[in-house]
Amino acid sequence: MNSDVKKFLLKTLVFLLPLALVFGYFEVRLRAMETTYSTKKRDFTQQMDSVEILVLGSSHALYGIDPSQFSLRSYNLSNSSQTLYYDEKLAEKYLDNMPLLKAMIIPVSYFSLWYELEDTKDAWRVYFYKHFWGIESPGMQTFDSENFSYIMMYSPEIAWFYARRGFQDTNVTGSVRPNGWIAATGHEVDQLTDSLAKVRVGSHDRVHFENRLPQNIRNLENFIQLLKKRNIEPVFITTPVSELYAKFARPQVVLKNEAIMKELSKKHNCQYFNYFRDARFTLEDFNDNDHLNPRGAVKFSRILNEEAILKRKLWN
Amino acid sequence: MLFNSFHFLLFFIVVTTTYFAIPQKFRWVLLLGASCYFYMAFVPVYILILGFTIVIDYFAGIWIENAEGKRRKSLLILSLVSNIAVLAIFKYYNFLNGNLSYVLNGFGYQNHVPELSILLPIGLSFHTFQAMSYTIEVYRGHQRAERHFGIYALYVMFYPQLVAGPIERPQNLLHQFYEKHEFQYERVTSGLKLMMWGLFKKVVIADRLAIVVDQVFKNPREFDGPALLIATIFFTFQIYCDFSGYSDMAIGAARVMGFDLMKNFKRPYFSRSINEFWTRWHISLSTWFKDYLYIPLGGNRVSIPRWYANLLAVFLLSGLWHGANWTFILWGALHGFYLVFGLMTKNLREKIADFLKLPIPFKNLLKTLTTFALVAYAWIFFRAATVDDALYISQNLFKNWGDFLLKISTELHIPNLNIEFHKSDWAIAFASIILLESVHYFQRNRDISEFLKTRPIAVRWGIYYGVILVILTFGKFASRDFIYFQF
Repeated sequence: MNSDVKKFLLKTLVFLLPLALVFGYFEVRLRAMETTYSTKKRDFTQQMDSVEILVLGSSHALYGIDPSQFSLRSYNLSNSSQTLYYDEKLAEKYLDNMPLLKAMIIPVSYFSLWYELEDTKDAWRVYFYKHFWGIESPGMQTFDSENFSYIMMYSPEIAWFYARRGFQDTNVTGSVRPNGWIAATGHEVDQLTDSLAKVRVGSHDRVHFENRLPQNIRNLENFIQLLKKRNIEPVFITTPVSELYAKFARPQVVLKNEAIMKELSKKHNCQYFNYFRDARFTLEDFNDNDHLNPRGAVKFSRILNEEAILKRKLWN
Repeated sequence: MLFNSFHFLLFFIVVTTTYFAIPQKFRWVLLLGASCYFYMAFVPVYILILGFTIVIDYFAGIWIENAEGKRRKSLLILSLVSNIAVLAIFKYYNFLNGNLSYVLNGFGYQNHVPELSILLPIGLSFHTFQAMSYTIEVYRGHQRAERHFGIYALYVMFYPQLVAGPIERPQNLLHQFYEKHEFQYERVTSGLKLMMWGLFKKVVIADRLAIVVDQVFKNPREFDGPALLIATIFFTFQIYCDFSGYSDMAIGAARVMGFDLMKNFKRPYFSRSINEFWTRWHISLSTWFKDYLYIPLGGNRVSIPRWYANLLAVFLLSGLWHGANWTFILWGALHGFYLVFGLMTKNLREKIADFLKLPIPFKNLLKTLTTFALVAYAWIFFRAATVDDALYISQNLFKNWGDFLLKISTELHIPNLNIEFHKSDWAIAFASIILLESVHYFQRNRDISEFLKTRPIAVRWGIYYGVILVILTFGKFASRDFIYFQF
């Protein structure tokens, strides 16, 4: 070994040692940190043999559906930015472990049919599904750093953020109820403005990809068939949004969503409840332009119980 | 495989370590195998296209060298046509066909030529131009034909510069594959530092600015003048940091193994004229066009109208090289126009400057800012998805500023621009641009790495740790392609 190699190895070792120590410390702490994924997995797997209704979906369901308002024992397995792909994969993975399951509530939001998680700024979440639920995304690569490191999975920026808070995400994990629901922080008037509604709809329009539609419909059809084979009722819903959000939502997308869901429901003989713009919900029911606050969530869950569960007699 | 990926980090460590561990006679095999793996990590099947051009040009080089008279020229033309045919099929076929349909429809006819459903092989324009430079140089007698097929293949495929340059010349690169490169501490660390600086530009600056640029350029009609102008300026820095960041990582990776690749950027936004800009921006491409197109056309040793026509032709082709879209052609045309207009008005501008008796530093600042504005304006055409979008942005850059300025002056904060970008992202974006240009300003008179060598180890390591922490803390690590990969 020549002297330059020795010098390089020695200096590199000394230079990298502090970085390696910090990196290792962060990895250990992040791996031990609770997340909505780890909390939900723990709670759900403890309850799954008694679950009769399973709620899936994105943050619209996460904040908007309180299973304790249902007449049947239910669990809310939704999570922020969870797409139809992950709804199906989660259901598929645990169907055999839910002997009492009668129905699945599958929310289809304004954007659900038109995107996949990899298309969004929340693409990092695909690795959480791999780490916590063992579900791989088709776009995932073997050598993605996120497969090996929690720092890279969270992104170093967010890892720093958690480090400054003692590696605790109390905002999220502390508020996950045992039934999977998260009560949003409350009614915040400054979140309900025209300009923020426009930005919010704009962000959803930016993940509108026409080429995603055929695959998402195929996935939905497979999902319906999977549930029907086991006599489990798929119940499709669209959660309420504020009048401000509805004002900026593109009418052609809203109508197309409704047409697709009605056609699917008719074809497969299942129910679709569209609450997208429902006059029973006022600004007082929203945390922001498209998420219900606890009051709205309780109201919505009771309506769902009444209209989608009791009327369908899903308990028989 | 992206330079800013964990996959590349592993690849680079394994290849470089093996490179220095094995005997010289096996190194070309390692580098060729590694380059194939690197390229196949994108779309494996496209290595066949690369293989096709390599075989053609390898034999063309030998035959040209052995031939005499007109046969030499015929063989060169055959080689060039083969290369251009590959480009034409994979890059320009659908564009030409689409335009043919448009013209035929205008005359009431239908175009029955089908569209091809193919992906553009990554870096096709780069390695095709590098391969063409080989046969041209052999034809000109500046380069001996390479007899070793593996070495020639490596010249085209050398992984650091395979997909986005620098576009090398055979005289500079080929002989280096025969030289034994010892592990040299200074060289290796210098290469690693350059790679780190390139990574900083890519993940901290370019990929953060891209968040704003992508939103605005995807739906420009949703935004007012302030957002359009900010996105245009952000793209000006994004494309520089993205592409020069790639070049730095390529040159750095090659340097670690003992190879010297040509410099591709020299602080282009400090240029005082468009002419100077093109001696500082994508140097390997601009010199390629100069050596193989502009000078053969007669360069400036022709009549003035012909000279201007030569310039316009070169820049139109440069635009077309970048992409099969009218937006790129207009971008090239704009730069051609800038140059011709600059030449036509040179005397007049000098007279005005003399008359105004502007202080030289002010005059230089004015020149730099004007050049920057012209370059930034042209980038609108480069980045916009359609010509309509580009024209819309151009026409609306300075509209609806009243509300924005009023809010800034009365409420002392940047108003909502309808862009999803966190406050901290704005701060980091502006701070990193300032840092970048400060480093460039510092580098006007001295090389920053040479300067650092004279500093105590605590200062040097402090700076290195600082850069690494900034990359790790503020870098955007979601795998995002380099812009120039599409070319």
